[in-house]
Amino acid sequence: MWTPKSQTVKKRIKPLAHLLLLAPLAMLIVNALTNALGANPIENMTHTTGEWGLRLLLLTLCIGALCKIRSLKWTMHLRRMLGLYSAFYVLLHFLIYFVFDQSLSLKYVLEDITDRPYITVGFAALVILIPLSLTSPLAMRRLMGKHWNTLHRSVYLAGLLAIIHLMWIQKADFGEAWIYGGLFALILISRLRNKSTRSKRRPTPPGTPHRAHI
Amino acid sequence: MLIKRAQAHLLKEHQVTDETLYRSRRQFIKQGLSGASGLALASYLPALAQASIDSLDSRLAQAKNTFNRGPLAIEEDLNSWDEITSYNNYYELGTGKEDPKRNAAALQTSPWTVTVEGECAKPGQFNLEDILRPHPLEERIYRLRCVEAWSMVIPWVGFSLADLLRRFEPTGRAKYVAFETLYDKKNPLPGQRRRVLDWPYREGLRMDEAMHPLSFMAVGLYGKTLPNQNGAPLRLVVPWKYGFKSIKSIVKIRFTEKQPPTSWNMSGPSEYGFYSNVNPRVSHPRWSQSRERRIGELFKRETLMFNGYEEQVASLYQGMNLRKHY
Repeated sequence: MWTPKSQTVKKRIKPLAHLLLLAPLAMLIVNALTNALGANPIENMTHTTGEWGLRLLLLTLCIGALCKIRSLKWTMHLRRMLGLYSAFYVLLHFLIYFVFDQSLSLKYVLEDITDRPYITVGFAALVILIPLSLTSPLAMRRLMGKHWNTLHRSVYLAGLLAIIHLMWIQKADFGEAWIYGGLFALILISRLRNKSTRSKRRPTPPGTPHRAHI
Repeated sequence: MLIKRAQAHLLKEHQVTDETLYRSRRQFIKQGLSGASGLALASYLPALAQASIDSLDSRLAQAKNTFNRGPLAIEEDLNSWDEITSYNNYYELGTGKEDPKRNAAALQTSPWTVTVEGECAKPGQFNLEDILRPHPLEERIYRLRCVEAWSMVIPWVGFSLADLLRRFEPTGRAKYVAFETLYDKKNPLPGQRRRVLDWPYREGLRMDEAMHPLSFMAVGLYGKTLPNQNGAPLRLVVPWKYGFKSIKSIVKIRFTEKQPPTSWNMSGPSEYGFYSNVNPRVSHPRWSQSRERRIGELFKRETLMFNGYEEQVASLYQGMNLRKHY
């Protein structure tokens, strides 16, 4: 299987990824300017940004499993970027809600966070993504050492909270929410399995040739 | 089998003026009245006499802009035809807001039969024409407040629900009236293939709510035939209740002694009550009902008690705990 060199990832794949990851926002802006967001444009913008936040969060979590496949190891270089874009869309999602649904009123938002569980969990997911984004630079990672991994494992909690947030606003049709929930469950299972096979292998003597993880 | 019951106040087929003759007569009257004073006079022609002979299209068109403002006047702007017909909750045609418009053609509204049964002296099966014929059509501009916290202002065309129900002579035991939406198990609508709700869609009103002058049966919108996605050919409009109470595409009316089961209440009894009156002070368990987004506006506005119809309907609920009877 074709594996790009690290220069190709840096010079070609990353710029392309930036374009792709900005496309949903660009589409949203174009649609907003051309009145193509339907009768309730605010709701459309809220849903679209929230959905992309969740999709990219799940994709970020997928990388952990994908990069175990030798020929897909390079995807690891995209993980930070995906995570940051996810946080970006989630932040947009919150800002649209804050400005248009809550008329920039902190009082309304705080009321919502304390009184509405689906808002509580959604907001908690956003709160988790903020320190993860701030500590994403490589320098921070080096600085934090093993604490970095501990902190960044909370991304799974953010994912779980986001899924609950989505489930909790459905009225009767849970179809879409179940799809995202199912994907999240698959990712978790693959991570846990990976972990258990890794710990089983731990006693292997040093110097043994490394096996490709699948 | 279609059972048509002859009704004293309905015209028989042979009593109806032939359409071409009727049209030439109209033409004559119009020409005769087209003078300056004639126009004013034309609007005083008795609506009832016209109602029984005009085609539905022309009756709908005549009802346009006839809304009698008075105490029900709404200062707010009307929502546009596009807004009202492209953003709908009609789960039989799909759960997305734009699904109903996309799937509208799947709903066949002709022929249409309404079954009337239960506690009444004149039950039966009626085709739509028989249901509509005796009622002069009028326009009602009402706010519509969805339980999802968005709202619109809509110019419906139709007739009073009370006038319709009286024709079937409900008995003293009729305490409630139940409605059902079309559901053909063998040929379900696109959204009815999944059991998102327990089909058919069911709704109901207490008899005094149903007989209230604000309760309305809509057959049109903006002086035109009601589009399928808005619940053609015949839908309920109860403006002081959340939108889901205003059941669409009605095929059954049943007078009952006991409170009938209603779809959203069956789906989520702790979230959607039988009454479901618009009430900014009683939240949905998951979201606030204190404010709403009027379609077409950027920011939310305050929700009004009984959706702004408090003066007209509050007396229906005197002494009731509206927190308990949500």
